Amino acid sequence: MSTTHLDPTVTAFVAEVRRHLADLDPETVDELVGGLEADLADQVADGAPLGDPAGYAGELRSAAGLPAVRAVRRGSSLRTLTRPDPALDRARELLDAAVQRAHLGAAWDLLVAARPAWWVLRGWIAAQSLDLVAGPGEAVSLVPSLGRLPGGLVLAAAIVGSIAVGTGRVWPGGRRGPARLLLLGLNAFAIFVALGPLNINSFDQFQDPRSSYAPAAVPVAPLSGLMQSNGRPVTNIFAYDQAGRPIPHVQLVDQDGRPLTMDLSAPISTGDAPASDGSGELVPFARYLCPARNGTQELTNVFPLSVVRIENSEVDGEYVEGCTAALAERAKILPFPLTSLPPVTVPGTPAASATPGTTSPTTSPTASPTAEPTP
Amino acid sequence: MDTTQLLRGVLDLAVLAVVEAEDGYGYDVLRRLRHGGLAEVGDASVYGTLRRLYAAGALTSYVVPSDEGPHRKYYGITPAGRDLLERQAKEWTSFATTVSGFLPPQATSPSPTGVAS
Repeated sequence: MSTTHLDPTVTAFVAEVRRHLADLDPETVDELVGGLEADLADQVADGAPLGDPAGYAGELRSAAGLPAVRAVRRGSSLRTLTRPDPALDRARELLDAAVQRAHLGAAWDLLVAARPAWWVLRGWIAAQSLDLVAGPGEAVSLVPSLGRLPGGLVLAAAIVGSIAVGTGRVWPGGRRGPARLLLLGLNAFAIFVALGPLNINSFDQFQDPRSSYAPAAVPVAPLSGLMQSNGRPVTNIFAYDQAGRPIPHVQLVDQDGRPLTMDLSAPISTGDAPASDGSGELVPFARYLCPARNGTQELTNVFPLSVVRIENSEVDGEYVEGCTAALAERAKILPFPLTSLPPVTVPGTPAASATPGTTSPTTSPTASPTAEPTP
Repeated sequence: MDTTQLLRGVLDLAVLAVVEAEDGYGYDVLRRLRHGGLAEVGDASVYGTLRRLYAAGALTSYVVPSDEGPHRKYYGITPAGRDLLERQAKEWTSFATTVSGFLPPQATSPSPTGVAS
């Protein structure tokens, strides 16, 4: 079929398309792909790019009225595990093609050049992971403190090993076959550990050795992400009626009558204060919001929410998952931040009655609707 | 409107008509469709349609050797293809007239020449 001036990219593309049609009988494939090289060569000569061979094969197939590709080839997943190179090579080709198509060649070259930095980081992550598993649970530091093991030495060994693997000097089983899959998996694991348990992003908050449960770098957690428009977090809500008088407690529901649900698991504030036992010692504390109750059910839509203050020593170094039933017994109701507000008029209602003493139509806590039992 | 959906229904007709006008190889047919205004038509769709019409006996094909590159596979229309074209052309005309009947008068006035690039 081929003669002199064959564009290698076209030949490769057609071979790829053929591969995606491999489940059809050979005659049909020949029929489909016959003459395709000439057509595509002209197309490329006219400056039109070749697309994705898989998508191309699918379109060809569907336009030709042939069935779509069969879902899974027999035994393919097991074969991919024991002989992963074709699949990995193909993934690499697709990646390279995508990089080319997105014109990210320069950025990609930069990334490739920065690989040694990744090797060092990977070694560090390996040592830290060992520290997380083996060492006492404590703050992440630059050099891991591996209990009895010399942390610096382990770190150095891990980095040297990582670089040796990176440069291709050492890897059991060579760089093909299942060993390649294992290396890929370990790299993915390293990234996962870096983003997850090790949490490099919040490195700073682990630096304070006193606060094992209330990191000083996280002063305030807003109520379920509620923010003022200027970015100040909202940590509680106080209601005043139309006449500007405080309403002791309100239950808030959404447009469908469902109680607002708030995440109360994070402290609304943390800090250091003299210990409550009178010793005068400064101890870390955290303040949590406590839900209201409807029988056994916890409701987070009753405002203002009560607050409980917990000192570090009370929780024995453990993390606190918010205001527990036991803690709720000492919860306090906060005073309203303002004794009253100016009366307001609301569009769509008769003018507000600012006369004190009369029962405003907006305040009738006794007639409050029963909360929906469903959470 | 998503013209790719519309195209799917009438691609057979358009391909048959183009090949009936003059024999052509895949890319040639594609180019003529695009120049005629079907700018969004996909190449694999056209090639696949040619193969299907060939398999259905509506088209015949022959290979023309090329000095500079791979051989080209030309398609020509068969008597069966001509019948199919005539039948589909009637269906299309009647269908298009019916749909146009629903439209306000000014929307149908510019003839659908499309944009020849």
